[in-house]
Amino acid sequence: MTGPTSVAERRYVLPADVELLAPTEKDAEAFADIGLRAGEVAVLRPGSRERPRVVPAEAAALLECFRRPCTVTDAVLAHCAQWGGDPVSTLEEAFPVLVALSRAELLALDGTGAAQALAPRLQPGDRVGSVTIGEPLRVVRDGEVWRGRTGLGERAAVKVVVAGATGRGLLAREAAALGRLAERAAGLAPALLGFEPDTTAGDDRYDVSGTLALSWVDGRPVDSAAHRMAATKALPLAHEDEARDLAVGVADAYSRLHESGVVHGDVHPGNVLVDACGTVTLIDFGLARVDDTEFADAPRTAGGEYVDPRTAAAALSGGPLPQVTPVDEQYSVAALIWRVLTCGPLLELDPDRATAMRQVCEEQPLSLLECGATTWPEGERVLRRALAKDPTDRYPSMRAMADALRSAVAEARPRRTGTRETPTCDLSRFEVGGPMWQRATPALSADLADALFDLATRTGDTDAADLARIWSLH
Amino acid sequence: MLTRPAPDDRLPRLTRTAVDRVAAVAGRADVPVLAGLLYRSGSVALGPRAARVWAPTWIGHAIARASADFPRLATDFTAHSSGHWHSWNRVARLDGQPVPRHKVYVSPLPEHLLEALPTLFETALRRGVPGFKIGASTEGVLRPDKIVLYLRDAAEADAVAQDLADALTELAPQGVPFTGQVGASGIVSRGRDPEGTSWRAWLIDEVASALHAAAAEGGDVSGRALERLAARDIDTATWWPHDLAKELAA
Repeated sequence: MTGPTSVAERRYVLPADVELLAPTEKDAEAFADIGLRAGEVAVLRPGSRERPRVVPAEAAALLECFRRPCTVTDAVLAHCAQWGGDPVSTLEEAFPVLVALSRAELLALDGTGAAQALAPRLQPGDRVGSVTIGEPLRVVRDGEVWRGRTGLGERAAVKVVVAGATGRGLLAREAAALGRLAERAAGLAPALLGFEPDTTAGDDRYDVSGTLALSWVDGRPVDSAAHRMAATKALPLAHEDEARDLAVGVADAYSRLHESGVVHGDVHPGNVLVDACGTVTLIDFGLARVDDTEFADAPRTAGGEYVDPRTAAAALSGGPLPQVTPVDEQYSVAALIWRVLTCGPLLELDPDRATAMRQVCEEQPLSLLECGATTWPEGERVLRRALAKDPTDRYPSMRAMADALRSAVAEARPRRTGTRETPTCDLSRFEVGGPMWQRATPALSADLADALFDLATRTGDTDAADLARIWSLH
Repeated sequence: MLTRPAPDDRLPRLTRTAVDRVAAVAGRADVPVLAGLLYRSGSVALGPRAARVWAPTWIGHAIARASADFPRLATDFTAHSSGHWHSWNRVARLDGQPVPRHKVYVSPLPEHLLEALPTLFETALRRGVPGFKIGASTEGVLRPDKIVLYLRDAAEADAVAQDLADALTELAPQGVPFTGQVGASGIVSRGRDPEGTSWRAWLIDEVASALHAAAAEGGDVSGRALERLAARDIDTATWWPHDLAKELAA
């Protein structure tokens, strides 16, 4: 492919789907909340994974000159002709902004894929394997997810991934992992309903690399499920019962995965879905290692709160990242379980990547209690072993860790059930040691605890919340 | 000079109530569960409304908005945000200085958090506070110890605590049980971390253990537990750290 090589010769264009958003007097306060002030304009592109960029209004006016493809010089001259100003100083001021926008593909080189407005690659009624495409769920530049139906009317999801650096491998690898799990761990992951690798993809990064049809999974990300439990349960202790069960469910799911000869390689809450019954389903196997296949090795990434210390150390040293092992993944799963129990991260990682990697290598987490969960010494012991910095100090397998966690739940299993009622009584009647406390049966105590907690959540009354917790143990 | 709180002041009263209530179930649960109950006492309950109103994104905006009026926060401190806390630590650290273990707690009701922040930032800058943190999650705003300042010595901490108590008299206190009240309302209080743990975690573990042991003996559980704690030099009237309590008594 040949074309202009100097910046002066290149023609740039503001893609048709790029929006320039300026606060008006009326909505200035709302924009101020997102950091956009008067005299500034947000440049954004729906469907792009790039965050919006904020530029001065003068730069936004210059951008308008790129609505039709033109060189930077032509745009500056046109801008100065319309608004006045010295072209040389205008170019000097605008150049860094234009460079930043072009890197984010908010300003694109004419004739490239980035210059084209985002358009879905599939259409309702298209077929992938046995699945007929329905409506789009998400359409972004590097992939799409659609709803669909099988020939038998079952719900399905269809993923399209474009060929980036690893795009083509992602779907083939995922298909291999799902095939393995269908044989050895049915129900642990979505069923593979169809895979159509795109053999026509060329050099352009926007070519489709393949389409994957999967059975539909009902559920929400595990961190969202845990947060929902904490937010909606009448009693904290009831929430913690469920959170601990969920923790065991997550550990069990990864045990089955490893026993099937698959290592996920991409542990994070969005890839661990939980349905209303607490069933855990793992998704997204694009970075998975699948034993005894051409996908036994996998590309790695390192970042975020679920990266294990061995990988973090490699990232710090600048060397190649090691292949993820089941024992590495045990650490990541334990970090995920920590989030399930505390609704917060294992470590408070610094935004600077190198500092964060060093923290992963060296820093010990606080206690569950200090992270906002009820103390659970048995469970905390299990998690701390799984989170050992030295992999040889961890459990020998994910199964051993899951079994230990299940035992820890059984040891600490508290009591109590109850129904919710709206209280209308004076709180002094519920004080411990009073006549009601003396006479209450366990069932009445549970009901009172629920009613007090309901009152506490409606009013913010800390006394009602404290009494609810005490009554839950009566 | 700080004044000794009276037994019916807010924090001694809240703390004693928590001890009495947990004493009533001390025979039915083990020490960690009792410690959990004590630690959570004084927290606003997390329900759908609180989760909606005090979403972490709101907290982030509130802090960003309040800190915008204090540009020196950005130059004098390094800020760090995580799921649990927004923290600020002094950029300049002098080797050989003691680790800041003296704590000042600031505990407005969640709805007054935004109003308390300017006073917090102004005091931290003016008094050269080495570090402080604010709860970053919904749970962090609902807990009583939602704002904590760290100081290197008792005198510094006392001065900062008194400044804050004087400046925040208009705001409704939530109050941190198991800390030493400063000022009349209970919105400000003091603690001091023992080596390797936090003040409240340590003290509450002591109280839970004492309650558990007293429950095994029967009778007046909270009375016996308080006697045990007093025998360990814990000031069960003010809940101030030991040496500070002695200074107050003197």
